[in-house]
Order: sequence, then C-alpha cells, then structure tokens
Amino acid sequence: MTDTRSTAKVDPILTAVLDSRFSSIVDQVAGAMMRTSMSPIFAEARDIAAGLFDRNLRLIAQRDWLPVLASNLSVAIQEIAGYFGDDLHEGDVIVHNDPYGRNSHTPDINVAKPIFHNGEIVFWAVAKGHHVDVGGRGLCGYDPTARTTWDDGIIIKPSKLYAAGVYNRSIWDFLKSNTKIPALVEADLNCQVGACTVGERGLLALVEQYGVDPIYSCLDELMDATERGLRHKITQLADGVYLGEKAFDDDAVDRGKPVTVRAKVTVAGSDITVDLSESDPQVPSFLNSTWGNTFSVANMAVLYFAEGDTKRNDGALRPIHLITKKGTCVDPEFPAATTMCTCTMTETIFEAVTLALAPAKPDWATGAHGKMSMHISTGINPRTQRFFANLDFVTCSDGSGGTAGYDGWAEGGPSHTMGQLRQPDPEIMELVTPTVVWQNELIGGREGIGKYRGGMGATYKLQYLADVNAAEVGQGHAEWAVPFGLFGGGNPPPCRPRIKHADGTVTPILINTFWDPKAGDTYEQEMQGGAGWGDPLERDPALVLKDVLDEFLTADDAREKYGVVVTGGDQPQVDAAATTAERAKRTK
Amino acid sequence: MSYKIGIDVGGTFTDFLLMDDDGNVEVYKTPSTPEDSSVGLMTGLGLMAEARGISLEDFLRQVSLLAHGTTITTNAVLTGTYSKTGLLTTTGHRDWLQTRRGLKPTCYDSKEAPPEPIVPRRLRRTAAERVNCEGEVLLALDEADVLAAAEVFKKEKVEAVAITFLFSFLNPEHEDKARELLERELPDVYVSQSSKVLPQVRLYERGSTTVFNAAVGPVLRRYIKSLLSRLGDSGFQGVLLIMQSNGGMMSPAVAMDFAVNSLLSGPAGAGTSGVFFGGIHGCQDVMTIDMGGTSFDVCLIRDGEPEVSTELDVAMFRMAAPSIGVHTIGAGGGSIAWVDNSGLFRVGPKSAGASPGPACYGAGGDQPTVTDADLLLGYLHPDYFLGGRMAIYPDMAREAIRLNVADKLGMSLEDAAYGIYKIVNTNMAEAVRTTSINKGYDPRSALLVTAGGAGPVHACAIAEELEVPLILVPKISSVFCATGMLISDIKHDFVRVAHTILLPDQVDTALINAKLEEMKAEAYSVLEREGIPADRVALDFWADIRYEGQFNEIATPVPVGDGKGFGQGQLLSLLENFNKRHDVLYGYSLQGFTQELMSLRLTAVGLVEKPHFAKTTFMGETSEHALKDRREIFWEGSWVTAPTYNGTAMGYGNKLSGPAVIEEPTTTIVVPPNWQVQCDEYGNYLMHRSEYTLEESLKRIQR
Repeated sequence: MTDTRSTAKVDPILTAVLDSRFSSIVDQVAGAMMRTSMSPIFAEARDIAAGLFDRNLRLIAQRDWLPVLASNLSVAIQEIAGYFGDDLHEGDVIVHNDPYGRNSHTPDINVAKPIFHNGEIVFWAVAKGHHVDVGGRGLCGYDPTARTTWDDGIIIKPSKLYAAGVYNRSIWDFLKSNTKIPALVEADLNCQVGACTVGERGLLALVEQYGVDPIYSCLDELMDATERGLRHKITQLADGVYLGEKAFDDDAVDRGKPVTVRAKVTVAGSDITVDLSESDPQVPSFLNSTWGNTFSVANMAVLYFAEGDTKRNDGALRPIHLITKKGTCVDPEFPAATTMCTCTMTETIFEAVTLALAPAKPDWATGAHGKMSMHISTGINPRTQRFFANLDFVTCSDGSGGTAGYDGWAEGGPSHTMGQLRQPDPEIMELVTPTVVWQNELIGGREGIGKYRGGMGATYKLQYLADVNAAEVGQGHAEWAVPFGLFGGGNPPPCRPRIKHADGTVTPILINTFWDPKAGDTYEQEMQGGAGWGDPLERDPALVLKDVLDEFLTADDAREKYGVVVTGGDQPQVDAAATTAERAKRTK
Repeated sequence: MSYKIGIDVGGTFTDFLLMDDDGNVEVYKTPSTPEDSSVGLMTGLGLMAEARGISLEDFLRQVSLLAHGTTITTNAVLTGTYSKTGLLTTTGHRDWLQTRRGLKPTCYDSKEAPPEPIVPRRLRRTAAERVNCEGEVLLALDEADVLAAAEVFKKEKVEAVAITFLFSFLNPEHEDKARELLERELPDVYVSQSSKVLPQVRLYERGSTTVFNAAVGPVLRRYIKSLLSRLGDSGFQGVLLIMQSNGGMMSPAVAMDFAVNSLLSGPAGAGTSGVFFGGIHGCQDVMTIDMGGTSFDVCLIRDGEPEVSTELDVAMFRMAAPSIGVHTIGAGGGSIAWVDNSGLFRVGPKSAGASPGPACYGAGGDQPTVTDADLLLGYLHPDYFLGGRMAIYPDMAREAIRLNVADKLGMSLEDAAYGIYKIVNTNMAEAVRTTSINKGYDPRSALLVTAGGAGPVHACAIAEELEVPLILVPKISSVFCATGMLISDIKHDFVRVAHTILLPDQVDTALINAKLEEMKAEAYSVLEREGIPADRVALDFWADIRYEGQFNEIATPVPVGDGKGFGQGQLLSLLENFNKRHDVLYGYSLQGFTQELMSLRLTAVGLVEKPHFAKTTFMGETSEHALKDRREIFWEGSWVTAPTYNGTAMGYGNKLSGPAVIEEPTTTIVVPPNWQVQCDEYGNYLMHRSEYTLEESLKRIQR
C-alpha cells in the first residue's frame, strides 16, 4: 500500500475545490440508492448511508442520511478491505454485514467497491442500507426473541457479488435462498451496486481531471484541517473526567430491571476519550450494541456536542477515542444477539455521553431526543397480493431536545436518526400496506418543558385491514428510560403503545415483543417529544403564548408548567404583571 | 408600428425588452416598486412613450403584447407578505405542513430553528372525511366540520383557504363539496383545492403546493387586476400574458386560479431565453448561468427543452408543480471569502449582499468579497464600475483581502485574490455539474449562455473547469429573462394518475388512451379560452415509470404524436427509453424486469407568434476601433497586459483574442489568454478556446 502522507505541496485552492466535489459525489451515491430502491426503508425513509474512502481506507466524505449507519462506515471498510488483502481486482464488488466484523447490525448490509486507476486502487465507494429482511424470524431484521446472533439473521462475511466484473451467481443465490423476501433483497443489493458505480464514475472523472497525486496531497490537508478544527473546539472544554449514565427499560427477558450504560468521558487538552467499560454486562436478548455500532455512536455523540460544522472525514475521528470492555452490553462477546444496537442502544449510549459532557459546556449540550418505540409489520396485502414490510417510521417521529437558544424540533427524530429520516407519506403507506392511517399529527404535552423545550411529540392511529405480523421494538416505556431534561428542563412522559380492537377494548403492547394484529385492530401510540433545557420559569412568555395559540398548550398548562399567565379566552394574550408575580412566587 | 414588450419585475429592477415589427430592440430598466409593482411597470412604459415623443395612450395603443414575468409571488413567500391563509384538511392529519416529512436540513447542528409554516396551526382546521386508496368513500364528509372551520376562518379574517384531503387526487368529491361550502360562507376568500392544483399522490407535496397557491393567490389576483385596470385606463388593447414557473406563459385569468405557477416566474425566463440563444447557432443543449450579487442560477436545456423539476423547495416548503429546473446556489459578487477555524480557505455561502456590499463599495463592508477580488485582479476597472456610474475604492478591497485571507494563509495578495476567484468559480461549476452530469447530461457538448452582471467576468473560468467548448454572452444579457418572456409560448402542464403494469399482455392501453384523451381535451379547452386555435397547439406526453415496486419514477417521453393512440409498438420504445435513462442516472438497469406506469403527464404548448430579432450589419473582423486602453490583469499566477475594448462599439464579425477585457455598460467580459471572441449577427459575444476555431467549437456542440 502507498504511504499515507503525500509529499507534494498542498494547494489550498484545489483543496477547497476537491472538498466540494467529494461532497457532491457522495450525495449522488446516496441519491442513487434512494431513488431506485424497491423498499420503503431505502426509498421513502432514507435508512441508508454512503461513504467515500481513500486507498489507505481513510474516510473522505460520508452522507449521513442515517447518521448511525454512516458513522460506522469507517470501521466496516477496514474489515471489508482487510478480509481480501491483495486479492482485490478491478470490477470487484463486495457485500458484508457481519456484526462481529465491525459492522453495525445484521440488517445493515454494506456494498463496497474498490475503484481502480491504472491497475491500482485509488478510492473506495461504499453504499449501506437497512434491508427488509436478512433471514431469521425477525420482522425487517428485528426479532425480540432472538438469543444469539444467528437468530438475528444470516451473517455475511465479506464476499464478492462481482469478482473482477463477473457476476458471482453463488453468493447472490446464497443470499436469496436465505432471506424471506429474496426479490426485495436482490433489488436493494442491485441498487447499492449501481450506487457504487455512480460513485466510481464521479471519482474517476476527478482522477482524470486532477491526477492522483495532487488529489492525495489535498486529501491530507482536508483531513488535517478537520482535525485541527475539532481539536480547537475540544480545547474549549475544561479538562476533566465527566461521568454520565443512562438506562433503558429492560433486557426483554428479566422484565422491569433497567440495563445501564455508563460513560466516563475524559477531556484532556484536545482529545476526548469515551470509556464505556463500566456499562452493564451483555444481555441475553437483541439489546446489545456491536463494537462497530458503539464506535459509531461515541463519535456521533461527541460531534453533536461539539456543534454543527465539523466535516465528516478521517480528521474528525482522530481526536475521539473509545474504550470498551468485552462482555458488556456495548461490546458483547460472540454470539450475542445485537439487532437493537442501531436504535435503543444508540439512544442510550448517546444520552449517557451527553449527560456526562453537559457540565463541561452547558450551552453546547442538547437535551436528549425522544426514545423510539417502533412498530413493525409484515405480511401479504390482500389488495395488491404483494408482500409488504413496514418498518413503520411514523413511530420514529419523536421530538428532539432543547438547547441553549433553541427549542427542539417536532421533526427532530430520535438520536439515531437526528432529523434525517424521511417520514412516510400516509397515501403511499396505504397504497403499499393493508392499513388506514386515521391519525398522524403533533400533540402537546409529550415534550419536556424548559427554558427551551423539547420538540413536540406526535400521535398515531393505524388501522389494519388484514391479519398481519407485527413487533414492537425499542424503549422509552419505563420512567428511567425517557429522555432526561438538562439544567432544570423537564422529561417527556413514557411511551404507551396499545392495540385498540374492533370491539373497542384496548390491550397495551409490551416493549420488545411480537404481537399479531387482526383485521380491524388499530395500533395507537403517542411518540415521545424531546427533553427540555433550562428552567421552564425562565422561558420567554412570548414563546409560551405561541404554543397556546398553536393549541399545543392550554392557558392552565401555561401557568402550571411555565408560570405564564395567559388570559383572553379565544384571543389569548400574556398578562405580563401577573406572570412576573406568579414566577416570583414560584421561584421563592 | 406595433410593439411587443418583455417585462421582468425583479426585486430591485424592472427590466424591459421592447421590440418593434422589424425586430429592432431597446432595453429599459426602472427601479421596482414592491408596494405595487404596476407603478414601476407603468413608469417603464412611460419612458418608452417619452422616447418616441408620444403620449402613453398613443404608445400603448401600438403595443400588441406584454409578456410579463414577476417575482411578486416569490417575494411574498420569501418575505412572509403572503395572504393570511387557512388550511382545511382531513381530521387526524393537521400538521403535515409543519412537519414537512420530518427532515431537518442539518444533521449535527442543534442551534437551528425550524421554518415557520405558511399556515399557523390555529388556522389549520380539520374535517372528518375519508377516501381510501382506491378512491372509495370510507367516511362521508362531515359538513358541520367544514362550517365550523369556516367560522374560524371568518373570525380570523383569512384571505385564502387551501383544501387538501387524503386521496382527493383519486376522488375529489369531498374537496369539491368543501369548496362549495367555503365559497358560500366566505364569498371574498380565495379558495384553492389540491385535486385541482396538483392531482397527484403524496399528501405533503400536493398539499404544500396547494397552500402556496392559496397564500399567493390573492396577492397575484390583486396585482393583475390593478395592472389590467391601469393598462386599460391608458389605452392598452393588446394581450397580457404572465410567465409561469414551467417556462411558458398563461393568461391573466388562468394565472389568478393557479397563482402557484408563477412562483418561479422570474428566473423561468432564463429557460426560454437559453433555448433562443442556442437556437441562433443550432445548439440543442444549452446551459444558462446567471450570476448576480448574491445568487447564481443554473438552468439546463436538453434537446431544445428546458429541464423541468417537481422537487423544488421554496423557503423550505415543497412546491411540487412542474417548474423550470433552475438550480440556485449562494454565490455571487457579494460572496464573502474567509478562512474557517480549521484553516480551510472558503468562499460563501455568506454574502455581503447589496448593503453593505463588497469592501470596495466603501459602504461599511469590511469582509472581502468576490467583487473585491475581481477588482484587485484587474478584471473590473475602478473607474468603469456600472459603466462609471458608481465610485469604488480598490484600497479597501486590498485591505479586506490582506487582513482576512492573504495574511491568514501566508499568501501574496494576488494569490489570495486569485484563490477567491478560483474557489467561487469551482463552487459555481459544481452547481452546474450537479445539475448536468448528475442528470446524465454532458457539459462538454453544451453551449454555455452567460447572463447577469458578474457572469461574464467568470464565464471562461467556469467553462474551463467544465470543459465547455463555447460560451455565448448575449448583447442584452442584462435583460436576459425579459428576453425569454418575450419569446415564450403559452404552456400548461397536466397530470393524471394512471396505474398499469407495462407488460405486453397486461398493459391497460385503454386506460392510457383514455387518460391521454382526457388531458388532451382539457388542454385544448384551456388554450382555446386563451385564444389559441387547435392548429397552434403542440402536445408532449410523458409517463412516470418505475420498475415494479420502486418508490420513485422517471419521467419518460411517450411516443404518441397528436391523434395517434398508445399501442404495443409504443410500449416497447417506452420501456427501452426508461431502461437507458435508469442506467445513466443510477448506474444500473434491470433488463427484463417488470415496469409499471404510475401517472401520465401532458405538456400542452400554445404556439404564439415569435418576434424576430433584427440582424446587424457586418462590421469587419477587426476590433481595433473599439480599443480603449490597456491594463494589467492577473491570470494563473502572473500579471499579463490586456487591451480593453468598448463593447458598445463592437458588432457583427468583430474578433479579438485574449488576454482582453470587454466593457459593456452593465457587465464586463474577461477574455483569458488562449481564448478568442467573435460577435455574431445579433451582436452577441461567442467565446472559445484558441486551439479550436469558432466553427470547430460549434461543431462540438451542434447535433
């Protein structure tokens, strides 16, 4: 392999030029997947990610359509390339999903293509997405009863879909014969291969225009600059050791017993070390996080804390260090089940790191996003006679948390999607699945209050017109699992998904279980809002009034939650004097 | 003598292009009057009358056509001055406008506020009703809910209401009924329904477009009524047409019902204008670029037709009606150069705008901008800025670049300024690239038409980056969009949901033919009302096709001419076209895989008589008569001496070689070393690399 550092003089102008080119190429790779997929998971929700790597497997650019998938690419590529070593040839396309081989979880399948110029690898393009099925009993990969990684789904060690450009029929047949919806799996693999080809076309055009060496000298600078910028930010945090912990509901076996992730975050100069080794031992069900996923989340949580504009390339990985201990829920021993790692475990690790870091710079901290309790259903739609797989992303429409100066977003999503997941269209939903979406709208009272409140929760009623299979996976049902407010900000209430039967009776749905709706049953849930930031009694009364006008908050709630006195009936207005008096009384 | 006038009401200036029967053109510009745009427009018409020494009434009596583009509705949306609007939607679905399918523009930035929806929540009311995915009524419309909503709207004094119910594109019965009730209860309110504005699947996209239509409807209606009355009072008896986002014109009556179609009325003129200038030289593939003070617009023309998009976001909300695919980025003369905290050299997206403007304006701006760099590099002349009408201060430009860029990066002043020039050029070239190559369009075989004040300073550099062989700078580049309006046809888009499997033994050709006929009849009827006879109508049918099970379609031309039906023969070529496009766009195609039709579209064009620009007389090859002086310009690391020419003295046949600078009253053309210029029969500048002749360069892009 060529030396990492290039010795050519760095051209700051070409560096800026290439930065813009790489970013648009990686957009095209992700875009090709989204636009051509046959699964709503890729096409509508964008549960996909794309990355470009250099010949030394350093991240050049990534598209965070699903941030927790994207941030895993940097380690997944090491596994993929390392597996083949020198046995890589022009025209190879590699598939991989091994959760114990630095991937996130089994349903997230990586397709990677080494890109050759004059007989040598110059770049890699990687397209990753959540497949509708990877075998096993799970729905869209999620099996709450899974006890081993083999229950989660088939394991794909790095394998060539195309070897030197030749279609490798055996691996395609292997994948198709071990999944329940082979046509969809094949279609999405095809669209990933196409996406890598789109990346290859763009990158080779770049090589033709500028040459390999000038590009590489700029790449070093691009990554170094990102590293410098991030280190500069980290130095603004006080050195020290910060502790944070967060629990989720339970391990789905020993019900009611919280499972805790413990973060010891050390800030030393311009480095941050996230040590998760004191976290609880691994659990018997699918609520473990693979190392590859834990790596992804540790980076996401630190970067979210360090604010917006850090570019996602190798330089952003260098100041952040991760320590885990084998046998814990954040780095389980083979063959533990792990499918919930990209959801529940991501949210929990993310919040533990945020809670740890918050005192280091309160203004940078953001209250936790709502926790996801996700509905999934699969079956045959009698109307179309087609199989459908509904990883129901409406149940991912949680609010994000408040932060100094800004309320959370109603459309912020849980922390593993960070507002990048596209919500389903109800008309497309009904055209594909045997359902009627009776209600999907925002609702007040599910957000954490605060000087800056969390984003609003939402309410959902989905009626089934056929007997189907369903599962409820995630967390946020227990008091300890809801997102915690920061610096006096409030917590949202827990999730309470339930089935309303045709006869009007209601059955609560236990988290991390299968349940099978009958025709006429309605799935009902209120999605969680985000956590609040700061003392609600300091909230700007004008913002409280706006929530009253928007019919998210009643005048009574305004007084009780925020100490703001709103009068005027259907022409609401703030009584400033009464508000001052009310707040003075309450802060005594 | 009779006249035709193209008018482009922009945010700052109202541009006019006046053409007489002989094709002679005159350019006028008046300051826009945002409080009532018709004032600035009438002022401009007054100037034209004055220039002829006749009264406005006498002049207007000779005007046969006013082709009018306007940013009135765009500005209403961008500045929040649209009409107070209510929304009536299906119970249980109150907030789709606010949540916008749940997308937050940035991932890792929590210090960002969501956009305020055009309709606040208290004005989003609901009615119990439901149509299912097959168009059957699942729950009858609760008329009491509609009346209750009407009460709220009345009390809140809304000026417009949008109605969007689920699946109304399959069965508009409930929307029709609700509209009837609302119009009865709220007689002066502008009511708009989604099944009329954009009858296609996807609630947010259809609904947001309908909300836009309602919110700008009264604004546009007010304006058109005011304009028509002013024009009528002044003796105008000709035809007024309004430019639409789709690059065609519409009558005032249609415009008042479909106001949303004017949301891109201004920039859409670029498409037609590009087609026209390309057409002069036999070029079917054209890219137009328009670089102003704060924004850079790109428009693609393929096979003589501007690209159309249905994925436009305006102020972060979706406008899904077909519009000319104008791609805009924040890059212009005012873009600010800076060094970020990681030490990377950047230009934009922040802009100094018109105020305080670039540092060299001396109006308080201390940040270095692209204009400052252009000045230091010798491309702009300090004494001839805006034709000499504006004083500028090179020292302030120098200081701003030294302080904020050169010193921080340890570069010389020239290198820093040239860096700004190069980076902004790359950003613009990248914008062109994302709208071209990414759509399977090769810029190396296209003509680059350059407009806007700052465009021609940067055109050659952008062309080099994209390997574009030929550039055209219109003589009247400052009224580029107004030109487009003057030469646009009337155009309407129609869409029908039509689902069928595209296999020879399963295809429902009867359904396809019925929908095509239905749209055709509607098109003829609308155009007839606008005075277009059937023999002046051209129809283009499109099919939205995908591989069975996909979620996104590719618009593929349907090979049926007017009068011919759709049969097995047409099916085969339709499928083949789709496969090809899929591979070009997305890196693969699935030969033999079942394809399905989702909807049919019709673009109906009412051909209007096109004005013809007059040709100028041959002035000889030499440009010596236009030579003003010489100055130093910086190019690729060194200063070179460049002769400067007075553009107003140049005409048909004149040639020159770079390095050179051509100064026109409203723009400056930079001709780098190794580039050549030649004026065409209309006085437009054609620029190409010296290693090819003009004929060779043209040959590379003509088909």
